[in-house]
Order: sequence, then structure tokens, then C-alpha cells
Amino acid sequence: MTLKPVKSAPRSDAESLYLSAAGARADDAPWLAALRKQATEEFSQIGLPHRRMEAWKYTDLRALDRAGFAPAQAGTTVVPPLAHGVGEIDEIVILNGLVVEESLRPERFSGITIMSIRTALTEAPQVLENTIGAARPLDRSSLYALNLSLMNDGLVLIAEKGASHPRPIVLRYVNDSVEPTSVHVRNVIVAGEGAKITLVENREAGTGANFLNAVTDLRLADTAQVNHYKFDQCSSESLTVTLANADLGAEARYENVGLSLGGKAARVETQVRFSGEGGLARLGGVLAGEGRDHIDHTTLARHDVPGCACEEEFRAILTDQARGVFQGQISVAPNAQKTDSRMLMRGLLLSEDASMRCKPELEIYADDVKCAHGTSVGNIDDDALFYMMSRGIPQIEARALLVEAFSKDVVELITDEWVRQQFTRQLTDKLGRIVGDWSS
Amino acid sequence: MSQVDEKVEDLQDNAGDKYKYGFVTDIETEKAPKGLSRETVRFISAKKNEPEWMLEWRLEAFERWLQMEEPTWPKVTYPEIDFQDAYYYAAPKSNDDRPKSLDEVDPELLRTYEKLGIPLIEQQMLAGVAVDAVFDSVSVVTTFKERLAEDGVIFCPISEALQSHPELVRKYLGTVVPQSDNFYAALNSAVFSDGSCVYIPKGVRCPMELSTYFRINEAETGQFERTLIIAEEGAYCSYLEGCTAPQRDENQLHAAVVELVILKDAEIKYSTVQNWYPGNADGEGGIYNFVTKRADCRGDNAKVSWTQVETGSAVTWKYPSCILRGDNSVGEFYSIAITNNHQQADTGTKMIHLGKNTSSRIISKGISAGKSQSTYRGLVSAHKRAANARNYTQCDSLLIGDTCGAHTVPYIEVNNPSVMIEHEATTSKISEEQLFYTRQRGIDEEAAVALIVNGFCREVMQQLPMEFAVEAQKLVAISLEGSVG
Amino acid sequence: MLEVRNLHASVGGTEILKGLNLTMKPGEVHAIMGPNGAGKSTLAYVLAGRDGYDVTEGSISFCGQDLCKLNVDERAAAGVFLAFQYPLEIPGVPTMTFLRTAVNAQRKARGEKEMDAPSFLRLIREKSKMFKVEDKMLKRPLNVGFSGGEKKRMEVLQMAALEPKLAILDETDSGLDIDSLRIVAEGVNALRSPDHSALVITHYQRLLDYIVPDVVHVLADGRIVKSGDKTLALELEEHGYEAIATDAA
Repeated sequence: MTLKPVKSAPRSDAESLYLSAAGARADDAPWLAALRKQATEEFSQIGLPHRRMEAWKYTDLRALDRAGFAPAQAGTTVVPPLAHGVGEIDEIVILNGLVVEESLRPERFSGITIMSIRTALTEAPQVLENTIGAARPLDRSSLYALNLSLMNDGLVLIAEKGASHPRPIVLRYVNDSVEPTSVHVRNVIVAGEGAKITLVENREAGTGANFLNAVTDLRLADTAQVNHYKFDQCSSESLTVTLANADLGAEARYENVGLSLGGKAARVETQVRFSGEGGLARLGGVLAGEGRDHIDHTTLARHDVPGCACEEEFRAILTDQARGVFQGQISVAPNAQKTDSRMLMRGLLLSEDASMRCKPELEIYADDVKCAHGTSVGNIDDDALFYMMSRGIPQIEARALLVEAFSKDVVELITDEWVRQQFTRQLTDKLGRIVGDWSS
Repeated sequence: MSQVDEKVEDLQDNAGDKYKYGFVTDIETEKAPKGLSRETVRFISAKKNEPEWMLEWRLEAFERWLQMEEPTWPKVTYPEIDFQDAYYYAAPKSNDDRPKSLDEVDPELLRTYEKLGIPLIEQQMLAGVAVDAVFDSVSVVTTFKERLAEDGVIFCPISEALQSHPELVRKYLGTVVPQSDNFYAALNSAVFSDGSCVYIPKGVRCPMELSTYFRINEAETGQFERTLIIAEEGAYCSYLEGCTAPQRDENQLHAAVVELVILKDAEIKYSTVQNWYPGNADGEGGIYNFVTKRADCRGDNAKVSWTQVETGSAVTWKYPSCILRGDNSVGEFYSIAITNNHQQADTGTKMIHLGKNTSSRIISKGISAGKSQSTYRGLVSAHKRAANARNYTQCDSLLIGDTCGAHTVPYIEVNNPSVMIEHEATTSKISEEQLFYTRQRGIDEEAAVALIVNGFCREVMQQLPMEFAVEAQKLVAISLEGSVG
Repeated sequence: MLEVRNLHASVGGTEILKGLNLTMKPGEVHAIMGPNGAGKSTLAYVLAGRDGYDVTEGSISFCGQDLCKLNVDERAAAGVFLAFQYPLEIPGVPTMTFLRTAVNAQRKARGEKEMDAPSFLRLIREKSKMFKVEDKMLKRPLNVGFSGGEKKRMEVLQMAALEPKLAILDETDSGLDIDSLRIVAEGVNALRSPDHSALVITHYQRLLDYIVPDVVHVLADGRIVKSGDKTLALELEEHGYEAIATDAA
């Protein structure tokens, strides 16, 4: 019996819009032009990810993005510095998808080269060829292809062997367009042997509806340490899709914790490949949604070598009609013995219409491993609430305390002091709103 | 100490006889023409003298099947199946002239049963188990019907039920697993050969365990069983399904459908020990087992419990599911899946919580050895109406050796805030310390592994009826032979 | 009965036993004492035949058999029993099932008739009374959730049920309260007969107040450096291992 080919859906307006913007850029080296061409073809064939693709089963971008977002034009706003708490930071602004060159202040860095992708295309093309050209994401979606096809700027950061940067480097995604626009950013982070850096991606809501599609490649040499955090303030008409694609050398340490506070669709994906023995990754996230927010945290941890550890801790707190998605895959290659991997996801639904989708997955091909995952979804513990109230704590406060305590384990993953403060403050503000609405 | 525990030591007894049931009975069969077409469907329906509506139903399923694609999402690989290169019907010749008693049964058949260890006559007297033995698609002998009839219980081949109780079959067939549910269910709906039909009337507690021994015998014959069990309000029954198959080289396709309808306050316990030929140590031959099993708890307080011990088949694709429609209904899934050599199993369950206060429990134990791959795939879904639904899932994998794989793919979907769902999964191996300790007490390595693995599976074993548990524990030992040392 | 000659054994390439000699006559109880790291547990594992404990030189003869040629379960069937310092938990395997499997496996290996259920039950009832092991403990999975004392009592119960020719007790007294210690000692003493010997490995003299040894050996740096009667244990308690070891060297 012959099988019929799968019928592909007709191209949507959004897909046509994105494809119309695709094409070679003037600055492209031949390798990049070839990559772009291939990526454009790929996107043209597959289109936006949709629910019939296993990895996007619960986040159907084809349905969530029908009209599309036109490519952003250069911004004009002078972006004021971030209001922040105690401690110094280095801010780098990406306005409407383009790095604001003045915000790069190389004099503040030692042993670290920073430049924009645009500059690198002409001044350091070899670096890009060795990173972007050689990138091998564990799971390559059509959005990755779209990013490759349309990206024209982003941050390049190269930390030399032993370099240690004392302050968090905050990469701010700012948008000042009024019309719905899309930006496709690519960042390249290379941490040499023993280098230590802290990178924060701060996605700011922006003025109008917008779509941020950011891919960050991270390459950690042996014993390098990268602390990577993501703050997502995505407005209810906007989309965020970010992918961190990290490759860890021997005894490298990678920390990735994200705080997602909403969006029409916010997908935060982290892929970690352990390429050297003794690597450690700690991944975490808090998904706090209200209204019609759709928040998706997806992780893939691939153990290619023995003796690496991966800890994952995620929490979702959802109210109104918000939907949370958590997908976590731990994959252990046949020789990756002594892998120690655990993953915990807990979801809290605070309204009748909030919903949660989870897919915690193990793929194990080695026998001497410790792998475990746990998932729970439910409501607040009535007994704990009653106990607190019996001690005289008013209901609303008791609830707030319990909800806050719920995400404590994720906050504790964060080693950077400044980030932890920001994280706690933003989360507390959001939870105040969520719990307040819920109690009324 | 339970009887089950006392039987564990019997494990060693069977350690020698590789595939105990590996023999082929030589018996002439009457086959449908090779391949699948409307004509094949008509042939099968005519052969069984089915009512017109049944033929229409089958043809409709066939039309749907033509439009469908073979699923590729399970984590299993096998050579492409040529559905036109198989026979879809085979029956012992003596079928046209059905035996009225055991004396009339082909002696060759009876000898086969004896080799399988199910001497019918003795079983009638001793075991108190009614046996509806399926031999190459046609049920030959059914016992204990009279005793069951006293309580109004119907237990007969579905082909017979289509003659004697057509209205019953028509009312329920395909209402739990629709014709177009999936590729293999559609195939089964079009060409199903036979199977069991059970009806337990209102308030009746079925007086005995109902048991069927399935057996695949004819070369190149797909086996498409169809089972339908209906438990009326307040009824209870326990159904046992066990399989053995002769050893041969060609891959054999099996696509069964089991439908359970459970009304208010009723309960069905369905236990399976699956020991079909898994192929040889090099991965040649073996059964392809693509099964759709589903229970529909239609009334309040209905309960269903699936227990399965899967040790056989080259490829297994099977997800016994529970639709918890009635308020307070309960679904359970207890599973042991053992794969060795080149076996592949992708199995699990679906718990669909629709009603209020529904609860479900999943205990899955996967054991992989040799070069095998074992996957647990499960869905727990709580719909909007499913207030206070509860689920607990425990999914443990044990790997024996470093050339096998164990995978866990759970899906959790929650649409109601009062739901509580908990899922836990672990992966481990038999520790060198445990093995040393056990062997130091004088237990040899294979027996030690069997003992430890049976311990790992205990929560599931405890769910099986006594005689099945004993057989299952032996199977664990046999299945893992050659996996250590 | 047991003749260990010039035994050298290594673990992971490191030599732990460096020419150990030990002779036990039938029915004797020997105590092995020594400081941490002397090789006491290694000796126990080597005698039991654990993987990874490699005999590189020397010989072990047990009742006329070359022990080194037997694997773990064959040694057990031959009559070597090891009471573990840290008994293993085996989830899901009821203690009763485990015991019966072990008893019958050994009988089978020795060509004896397997024990039927009623006699086995009688045997275990009797032994469990002796070791104050409650019925409900026998129904639970082996050692799972048992306290330290319960685990040790279960070890001697197994020993009593299996009636080994040589029982090796590897620091069975560690972590035991005084009552359990007495129960354990009674078990060993009850087994004492011309056919049953015991090798008691301990760090402290305390246990030897209850199990009075015929011979006491001091093990230091992989060798027996001194042997004597029960008074040697008291001497050790008083002066410490270092004095004896240095003295002997």
C-alpha cells in the first residue's frame, strides 16, 4: 500500500510576511549567505512551528501568530538607563533589533572583547563562522531557521582564558515601534578556559506589539562559568521566543534561570549539551501568568559524556486564563555513565480557567545513571493555609506567603546577588497582582 | 506470607526452558485470499455469517483505514509492513462443523493445549476458570457457560454473540474505540476475526475469573482480536488474558482492540500476561503487537483496573486507557514491561479525567536488558469539569547492562485548578552491592537478578490474580535469561 | 577447616592484604581486630568472593576446597556466610521470600532436598523468636525501613537459618545497642559447635565479652601481626593498636 504524503497547511499571512523579508544581506560572507539560503528554504517548507510538531505540541505558533510582524525599522529613542537596585551593572541596549553601538563600552571590560554582530560581520567574520557557522543546536526548529534567515545584529562577547567580569552584563531588548514589528537577534558568547561571566537578557515590553526571536549561542571552554538569566516582560499582544544553546566543556558550569511574566506567547528554550566530563548545569524558571498569557519553558539536556550533572527546578503560577507549558528532556548517551540528573516542575493553578501542560521526558541509554523527574500540578495547600490563618495571619497574606514560598527553590538557584534581587522584586510585584486579583 | 511470595522460589525451576511454548502445530487451515481489499472484508464477514450492518460497519472502517497513516511517533523501528502480503483470515477447517463437545475437537488442537499446559478437562474441574480458547482466530471450545448463564452472564466468542445477541454487540461495538480511532484500530475494525464478548448484567458479580488464552499459530496470518466487555450497573468481573505463541521466523502482525464499557457502580479488572514470541537473540522474527485497549467509565463510581505484564513480542505498541466520565470513577494502570535482546516496547496509558472527583493511579515498571528499548508513554489529562480529580503516577525504569535504553515520555494536561496531579519517575540499575549480597546467600546470578527484578515489580505483581502472578514471576526470570554475566 | 596462606589481595590496583596467614580449626571462633584501614573488611570480602577484590598471590583453602576457584554463590553453598557491616536493602523482595530462596538454593547446590513450606515456616518461626524478629518484619521487603539494630538481627537470623560452616561477622557490633548486641552474640554462640566456626571481625573488645574467642588476631597493614588468646583483646583495649602493631613489627 502506498502512503500519501502529509498535506502541509497553506502558507499563512505571517509566514508569507516573514519570507518576504528573507534574503541575502550585503555584508554576508559566502558561508553565511549559504546558511541563510538554506534556512530560508527550510522555513519556507515548514513554516511556523505548530502543534503537530512534537516539540511545539503545546505552543502552536502558527495559531498564535496569524498576521505576522513586519521587520522592525531602526529606533530613534534614547533609552534611559535601567532603574536598578544595589550594585553596578553593564548595560548593552538592542533597540529594535540593532545594537546601540554607544552602549558597548569596551573600556569597562578587561580580557573580554565585545562588539555587535554587524561589526563582527566585517571585522571578525572568522569568529562568527566558528560559532554561528558551526552551531549545532540539539533541536533545530523552523524558528531557528527563521532567525538565521533574518538576523542582522546581536552581541558578540568573547572572554579570554581566565577572564572574570565582576558585573552582570545586561542585554536589554527594547522596542520603540508603534506598529507590530519583529526582531531576530543572534548573540554569540564564548567563555574561554576558566572565564567567568554573568549575562542577563532583559526583554522589555516595548511600546507596541512586537515579536522577539533571539538565539544565543554559548560556548563554555573547560572550567568556564557562565551565569545566564532571562527576564521577560512581554506584553499581552507580543511574542517572545528565545533559545539558549549552550555547549559545556569539562567541568564547566552553566546556570540558566528565567523569569517569564507573560505574553501572548513566550517560549523560553534552553538546550545544554555536555561535551566534557564533570560539567554542571543548573536550570530554572518561574512562569507567572495572568490574563491570557501563554508561557512555555522548554529544556533539553543532552549528556554526551560521563560524569555530568544537571539540576532543574521550575515553577508555574497561573491565574485567569493563563496557560503554562513545561517541557523538559533529559537525554543520556550510551557512554554517559555516572550522569546525575534531576528535574522538578511544580505548577499552581489559581483560577478556574488557568491550565498547565507538562512533558517531563527521560531518554536513557546508559545504565549507571541517576535520573529522576517529578511533576505536580495543583492548588495551594489548604492545610497550610488553615494553619497560617489559625496563627492569626490574614488569608490574603497567608496566600501571598505560600505562593511566594512556592517559587523559593528557583530563586535559590541564582548565585548572582543583583539578579536575585531583581528576580525577587519583579516576581513579588507580579505575584502581588496575581494573588490580589485571586483573593478578591 | 502470601502465596505469591511462596511461589517466587519456583523461578529457578523454569530457568532452563528458553521459550517453553516454541512449537508449531500442524493443522490445515482455511485462508482468506492474501492481501486486504473490500473483497477480503466481505469474505470474512460472509464466512462468519454476519448481519448486513456488521458488514457495512467493517467496510466503513476499511474506507477510513485507507485514508489513514501508520503512526510513526512511537519509539520503535521495524521494517515496513506490507499489508497486502498477509492473510487476514484463517480458521481451522473443522470450523464449518463446530464441535459440540471436546470429543469432537481436532485431537491435534487438544494436544497443542496440553503442551501449553491448559488441559481443558482438568481445568474445568480443578481451576474453576471458564476458558474461551482462541486458536487461529476461531473460538473452538467454551466452557462453564451453563454456570455463567445461571447469573445471566454472557461469555462467548464475539462471532457467536453476533448471532445470538446482535443487538447487544451493535449497541456497544465501536463506542469506546471508534473505527477511525487510529490506524490499527481501523484495520482491526475492518478485518477482526474473533475475540471474546462478555456481558455482566445489572448487580451481578461474575462468579469466576474469565480467562482467554490467545494463540497465534498460522504462518503469515495477522491476528485481529476484538474483545468487548460490558459491565452493567453494579456489576463486577475479572478478566484474564494470557498469550503464548509458537516459535517461527516471519514477523507476525497482531492488532487487537479491547473495549470495556463500565456503567454506574460497576467494576472491571482486566489482567494480561503477554508472552508472545519476541524474536530470537539476534532480533529476527517475533510478533508485532499493536493494540488498542480502552475502558469507558460511563457511570458514576465506575472503576476499571488494567494490569499488564508484557514480556513478549518483538515490537509492542500498547496504551490501555481509561476514560473517567462518571463522577467519582476510578482508573488504574499497573504495568510491567520487560524487554531483552532486540525487543522494543512503547507502552503506557491514558487517563482522561472528565468527571468530578475522579481518580487514577499509574504504576509502571520498565525493565530493559540486552539491546532492547523500553518506553513509557502516558497521558494524564484533567478536563475543565473534572473538579477535584486526582492522579498519582510512578514510573520506574531499571536498566540491565549498558546497551539498552529506557525512556519516559509523560504528558500532563490540567484544566481545572482543584486537580492534584503528581508524577514521579526514576531510572536505576541493579546495584553491584545488591547482587553481591544476594549471591552471598547462595543464590546464583540469574536467580538473584530475577529475585531483585521481581522485587522491583512487586507493586504490580500484587495486582494480578494468584495464578497469573505465579506465571508472571516465572516469565520475569525466563525473559531476562542471558541478560547478565 | 580454613587455611589462608600468604594472601595478597588488591582493590582497584591498590594492595590491601599483604601476605596474610590464618588457620582455623573446626569449631573455633577467631576474632580479628585491628585499626581502621588495616584490611579487615577486605579480608571478609575476599573470603566471600566479591568482584573487584582480586587475590594476586597466596591461597585460601576451605574444608579441602580451593575457595578462590568458586564464585560468590558457590562459596555460600559451600558454607561461607558473611554478615555484612552494612546490610543491603532490597526493595520489593519480602524477607521471607528471600530467606526461602536462599535456603533452598543452597540445599539444591549441595544436592540436598529442598525444604517444603511448612518446615521452612517452622524453622523461621523458631529462629525469629530467638532473635526477637517480629512476624511483620519478615513480611516487609528485606531490610527496607529496618533500623540499624533490626538489620543486624536479620543478618544473624539469616546465619542461623543457613547454618554455615564458617560465619564471618564483619563489624556486626557497630551501631548496636547493648540488648541487640547480646541477642547477636547469643545467636553466634548457639551456632558454635564442632561443625560451625566463626570469624568475628571487630574494632572493639566489647563484643568479645559475649562471644568469647578461642584465638584473637591483630590485623595491621594487611597482615596478621600478632595472635593470642582472649586476653590479647583486653590488652589491645588497654594499650591501643599502635602499641601492639609497633611492638610486633
